Amino acid sequence: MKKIIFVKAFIAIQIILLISSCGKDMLNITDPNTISTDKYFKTPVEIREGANAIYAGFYNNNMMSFEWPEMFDALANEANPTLAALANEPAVSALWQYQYQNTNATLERFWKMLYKVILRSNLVIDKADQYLAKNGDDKDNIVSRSRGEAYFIRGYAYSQLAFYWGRVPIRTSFDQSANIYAPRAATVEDVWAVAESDLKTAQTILPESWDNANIGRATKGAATGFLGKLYLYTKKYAESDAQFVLLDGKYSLLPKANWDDNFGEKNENNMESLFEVQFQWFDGNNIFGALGTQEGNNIPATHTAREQLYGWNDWGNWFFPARRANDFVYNNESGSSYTDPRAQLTFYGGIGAMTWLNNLPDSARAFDFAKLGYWYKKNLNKEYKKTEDNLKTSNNLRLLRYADVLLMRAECKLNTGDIPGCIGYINQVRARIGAFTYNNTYSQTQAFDLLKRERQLELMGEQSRYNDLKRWGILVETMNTETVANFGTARVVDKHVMFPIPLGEIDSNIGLGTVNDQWN
Amino acid sequence: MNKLLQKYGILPLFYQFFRKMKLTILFLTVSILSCMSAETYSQTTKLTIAENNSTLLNVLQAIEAQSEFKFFYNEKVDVNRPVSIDANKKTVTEILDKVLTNTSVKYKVIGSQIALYDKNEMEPFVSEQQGIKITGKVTDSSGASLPGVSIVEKGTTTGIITDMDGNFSLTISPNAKTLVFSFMGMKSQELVIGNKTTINVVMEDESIGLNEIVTIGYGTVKKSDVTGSVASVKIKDIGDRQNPDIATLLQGSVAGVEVNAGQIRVRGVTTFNNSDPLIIIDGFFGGNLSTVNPNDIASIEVLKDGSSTAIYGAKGANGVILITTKSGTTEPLKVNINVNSGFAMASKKLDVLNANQYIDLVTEGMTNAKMTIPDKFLTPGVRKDVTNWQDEVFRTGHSNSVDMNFAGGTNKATFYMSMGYKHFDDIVIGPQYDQISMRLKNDFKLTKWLKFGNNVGLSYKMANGSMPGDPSAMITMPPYIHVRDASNYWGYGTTDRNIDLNEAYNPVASSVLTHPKSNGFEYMANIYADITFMKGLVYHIQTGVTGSFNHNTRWDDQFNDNAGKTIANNYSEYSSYYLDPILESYLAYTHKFKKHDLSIMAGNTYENFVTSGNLSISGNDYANTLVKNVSYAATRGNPADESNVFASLSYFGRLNYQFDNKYLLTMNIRHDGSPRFAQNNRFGNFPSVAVAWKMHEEGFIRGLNIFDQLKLRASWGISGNDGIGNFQYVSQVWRKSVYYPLGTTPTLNVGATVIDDSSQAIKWESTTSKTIGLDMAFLKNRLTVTGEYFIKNSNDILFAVPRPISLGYGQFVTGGNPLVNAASCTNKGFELQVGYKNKIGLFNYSLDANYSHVNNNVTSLGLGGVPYMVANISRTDIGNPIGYFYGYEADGVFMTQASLDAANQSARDAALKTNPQLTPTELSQVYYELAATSAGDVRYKDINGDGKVTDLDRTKIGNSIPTSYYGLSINLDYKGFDFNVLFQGIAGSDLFFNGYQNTRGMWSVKNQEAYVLNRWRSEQNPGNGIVPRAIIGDPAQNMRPSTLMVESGDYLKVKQLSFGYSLPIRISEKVGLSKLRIYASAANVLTLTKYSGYDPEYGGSNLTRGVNWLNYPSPRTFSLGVQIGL
Repeated sequence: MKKIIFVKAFIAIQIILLISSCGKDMLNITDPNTISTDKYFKTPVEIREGANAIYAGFYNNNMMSFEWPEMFDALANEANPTLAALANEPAVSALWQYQYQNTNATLERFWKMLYKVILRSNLVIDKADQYLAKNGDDKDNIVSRSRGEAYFIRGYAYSQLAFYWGRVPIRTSFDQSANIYAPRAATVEDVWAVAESDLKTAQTILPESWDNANIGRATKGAATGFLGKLYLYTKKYAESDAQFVLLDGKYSLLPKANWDDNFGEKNENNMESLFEVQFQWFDGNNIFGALGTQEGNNIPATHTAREQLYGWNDWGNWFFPARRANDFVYNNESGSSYTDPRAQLTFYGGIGAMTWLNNLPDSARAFDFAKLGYWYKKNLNKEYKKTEDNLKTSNNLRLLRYADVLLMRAECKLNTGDIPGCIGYINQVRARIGAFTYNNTYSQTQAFDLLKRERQLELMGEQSRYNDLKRWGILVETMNTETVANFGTARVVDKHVMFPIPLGEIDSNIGLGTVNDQWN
Repeated sequence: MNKLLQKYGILPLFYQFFRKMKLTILFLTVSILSCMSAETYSQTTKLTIAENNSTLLNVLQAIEAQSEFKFFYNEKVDVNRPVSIDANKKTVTEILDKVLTNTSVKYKVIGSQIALYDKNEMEPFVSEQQGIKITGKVTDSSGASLPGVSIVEKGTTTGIITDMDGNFSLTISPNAKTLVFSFMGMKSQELVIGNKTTINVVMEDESIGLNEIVTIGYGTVKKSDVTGSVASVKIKDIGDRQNPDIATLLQGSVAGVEVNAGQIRVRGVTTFNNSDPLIIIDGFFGGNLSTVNPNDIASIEVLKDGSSTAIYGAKGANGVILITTKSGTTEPLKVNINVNSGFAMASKKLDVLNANQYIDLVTEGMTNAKMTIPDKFLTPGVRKDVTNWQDEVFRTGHSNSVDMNFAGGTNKATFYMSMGYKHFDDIVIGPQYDQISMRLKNDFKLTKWLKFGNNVGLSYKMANGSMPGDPSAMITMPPYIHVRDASNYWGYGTTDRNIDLNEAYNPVASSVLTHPKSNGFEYMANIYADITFMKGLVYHIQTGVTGSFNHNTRWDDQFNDNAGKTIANNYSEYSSYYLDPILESYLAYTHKFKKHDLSIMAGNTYENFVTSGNLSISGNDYANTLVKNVSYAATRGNPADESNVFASLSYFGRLNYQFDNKYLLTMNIRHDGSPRFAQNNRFGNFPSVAVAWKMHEEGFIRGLNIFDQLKLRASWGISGNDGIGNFQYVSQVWRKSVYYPLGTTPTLNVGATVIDDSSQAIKWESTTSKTIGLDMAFLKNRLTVTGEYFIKNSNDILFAVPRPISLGYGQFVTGGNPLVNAASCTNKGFELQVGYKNKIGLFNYSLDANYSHVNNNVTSLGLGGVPYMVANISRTDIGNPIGYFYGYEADGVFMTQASLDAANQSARDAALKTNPQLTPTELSQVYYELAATSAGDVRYKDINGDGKVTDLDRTKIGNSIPTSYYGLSINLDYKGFDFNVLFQGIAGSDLFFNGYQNTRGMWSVKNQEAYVLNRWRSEQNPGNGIVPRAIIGDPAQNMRPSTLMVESGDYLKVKQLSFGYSLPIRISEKVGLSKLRIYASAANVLTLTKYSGYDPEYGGSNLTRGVNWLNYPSPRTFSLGVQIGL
């Protein structure tokens, strides 16, 4: 009996020891998969990763690699949907039809993309500020330059928001805990001011150029170009021109023979290009990642779906409108009909190119215009490869090229009364492509007409026309002519000059403030 | 063991069967079992006896004192014969052989019983004719004779049943000690025979089994002493339903428990997060339900109210389901075998358009959209019905299962072992499953103060084949496409998106071209010990692991998509593991003095080193399809690697106090810690109190002579929920495939950022529940009624309150919002459970009905109370149930252009009234709906009365959570025939058919359901006034969420039906069987519903519940089976 008591006591002690050895400390576990934010972004390498992620923010949610170009081509009637697009891209199709509401998914994704890159920029700016305050700049200026890149993209994002939506919530720091339900800015000028200040900051920090490994990052020239564009869009023509002057000698137009280099997979980030969203297909990429969301998949997706969506023997969702071909035919100064040489460079069919695959060794093929109708040539790679082979496309998306800068300078001159200066810049752009140059004397109205035509032809399919019409205040009248032709009714009304504040934002931001008529 | 084998002659066959199964683990088990078998006891028990100049009697008594052996002998055996023995660690046979040498006495060992007899006499037990004849009569408590009662000599198959007058006559072996009387609906009785030769028995009704033991958290109580809301389902009470899983087994059986498409909800929905109840298997926390073979279950208890779930603290708010598996018995080996085979088919198919109607529809849709009709649609070939895609996708499924279990033991050791094998192929082409499950339970009573045992459950699952990727393709595919097409290298017919304009992909090809395989091994093993330190003071400790290993592969053949693009072959591999060790112990003390009855329990749980992880690799474009190995892929994806850790820590305690067997009090508390919260918020306390008054024990109630039971209960308790992901309180770096290509030769640059906002301040969700209940029994316990009313208030619900999109968080447009303790909701309701059992002669019947009513209501959403919308359909806001449907009210279609013009005109009138400054141009741009709206489009109601239809006209259009659910089970039996039927249903719920846009929307070139035949075609042919016109692109937004997509989700199903026949025991025992029953059963026999889709039984997560795409119907199954008892 004593033995049993001893055994029981022994067991009891063992149990007490066993239990007391486990304690509350065991609950202090950390996630083995990720790092908490407060432990990261402490070194130049980590801060640069933060900057890389800002650019990557352009990709997500169907945006720059998918719907962003379509959105503006559709709004400007520069691309028309095939049945496949009507069926599969109802949101973008609704933009083309001017039937979109504040629930439009594409516009909501665009809004989100801009705020996403703002969030990512704010993170980098805050972390870089902390690093610089503590350590000063690193020897390769990685931290300060990352900060410059962040300012550049934030400035770009706020200028987009200001232009398309006007008074929007402003968020300029990573910690938004006191500003979660940010109200709409009191005036649109407040939003432009943030963009202006950001681009100026970027301009002072960013280098003129990058080493080979970092080509593609934002440069001082990019910041200058977008700052000039901002001034133009806010009608500060002198300030605008003052910025563009700074680009003299830093950029130049490619020769006509290299026209394709503005839109294709080779010779990207060239001397005509100020800023491009970089796309690259790598074997092993997540093919369909280009369509949805690139991040979070384990497999990289850094390519673009655009060419696949615009190619007649690819998915063929968007074709070149016949109406646009006519834009390339106009009278020369002696009053006779003239076909602009850019027709051959911009589209296939009719007065456009009638052969394709000219740059592939197995020689050119005839373009079957009768069967296929018009399709884009610009931005596609049809001179080099038969098909895009399942989204394996690397074409960068050029956001700003020097031809555009020259035409914006022309616009500055026009609005400051320097008509010959205006014509001069237009002629620079025309001469490069071999179009006749203007030698007559023109009134301001006439010069404006020439500028309008020049921008349209030079920049067709480059998401410029919608902005131009909107900026010039002729969106409603111009587009209604085209919606009547397309749908039988004038569908564009004054509210279409601004995008609707997404319903998702209205519903979730209780501090937003008044949104008129559920639109803007 | 050999003797046993001889006695149960059929057993060797099963050993052969095992060998065939190549389950060596079973051999292992068998050898463990044999260690415990009684025969082996005599060989393994070593005794030390030193008796000099003693008697045989003394030797025998010495053996009895050292062991479990008992000796039997008659007067022919001279036990007073002098003997001497000095045996050191010898077996009993060695000792007996020695002391019985040179005598005429022989012995025989049967179990732990040893008989001594004179060899000149006949061997005992060899012949049953030598046995004793026992006669008697069996009556019920009213004195009526009971025919059909089975009487079995305990531990044998010797038995008989009573005749029409309740009389029996049975010859039993001389050493038989006990007779077991059993009768359905009556309490089994075990009677000691003693010297009696006449035994009369009064059987008692078992209706409510007040003495039944009910499992509660960390202990058991008598059913009559339960103070909280605990529903107990004893498997023997619910008949022989063939249940594929435990959720199905509970469906319709328990008040307050709603089971819908495999999803279990106890007393409503208490959180926006995971609402699954906590599952506890054999007291083992966090067991995996899929390791449990439903045939192994002895009982299921559902803890419903706060007072009973508080002992599980932070994990109890969604209710707790305790599963108790069958255990061994202190009887010789018993074997049960159940073989079942059946087939299954889709319970419903939908009507779709034929080829002719399809072409008419799409050309109409294209014409309305001013599109050119493609050439192919003008050819006669497309108007030919070639394929019925539903017939190609659905098939007859088959199922086969074999289950067997072995149970037995001695007073010292018991065992239960089971093995089950199940094969099932689905009612949809592709998938087939095989599952082997096994359970082994041993309990050992080593000494009077030490008991221990183990419990191991294993399951191995294999699955092959894939369903069609998109169920709606079997509706939307053109009827003129062939299933197979040899001109395509992959062998299947397909649409061409440029010619057929149809985007659907051949569903047969999408099943046949993909080859997923999965192997999953799940295990659960634990050991326990009960140490009795002194009378009434017991320490229980158990430790064990649950876990799993999974390995999945998937090969996809190369094919061309309907844009003609080659989709390269692809092969991926995925493996994962999970390991969850746990240590639990508690100390329980019970003490009775005078009228007081007190028990106290306190304990703790450690769950530490919980780890899980997974690895996946993939590659595509394999030149050689014979070698399916990622290293042969032309391109390879990045490998992915994930690992997780977890731990938890809890302390708990309970006090039960009873006074005079009338007044009961239970108090629980649990202190829980979870690493899911920051250090300051890591611990939570969860107390509860319950009281009960057994009024039927009071003289004044007893005097009424109405109630056999009348118990009033009231309870209050708080339980919690931490059912969120780990580390949600920490802001994490996001680096997963964040890349940007840079450089003249582009290379990937890694990006890092933050996509999820986080809040440090989060803490436990808590649910306070109050219950008042009344348990009643009438008519000699034949009628039982339990009614309960409850209120559950859930607070601090962890909810990712939608924050402005402009914060920029989230991988998609929305998301990335931090979880915060923001929302509250209530669930109020009542439950009624009624049982009635009776018999008419040999005809027994019983009815069990339950009805539950719950109202869910969100009382706060926090941070401004912004209504929460998911997928533009499901809305959660204050004053409404969670996740109701929100959209437009459809009000027919614009039957004529004139009616549309009138609507537009009144919209303009209204606009002018609000704003007289409107110019004529501006006014012309005001529409009732949209500029694109035309005759034939849906007319929506202008709810807010501003003259036009906008977002502001959206309103509540449906309720996703059922307010009522009910079940009715009827059991009948008559002479060996038995019949069981289960009705089950829900009411007060709606379903939102999101698949509308695919199969009814008429907005793209897709085949549609026959629903669209009633569409508006023209003013002259306007259809039924509900279905709008067909138009490609849907410019008028006829597909916006509206009442067109909402249908009642109410249904009443004949869920289960079974019919069986058991051979009378006197016949079955002639072939050595204690039981032989054949049965037929069916599931999902009949569904009564207004829902027009495949199946109204549809769950979904809380916030988007009832939003269904085209989901496959639940199978209607028929099966035949045999149950054999040995």
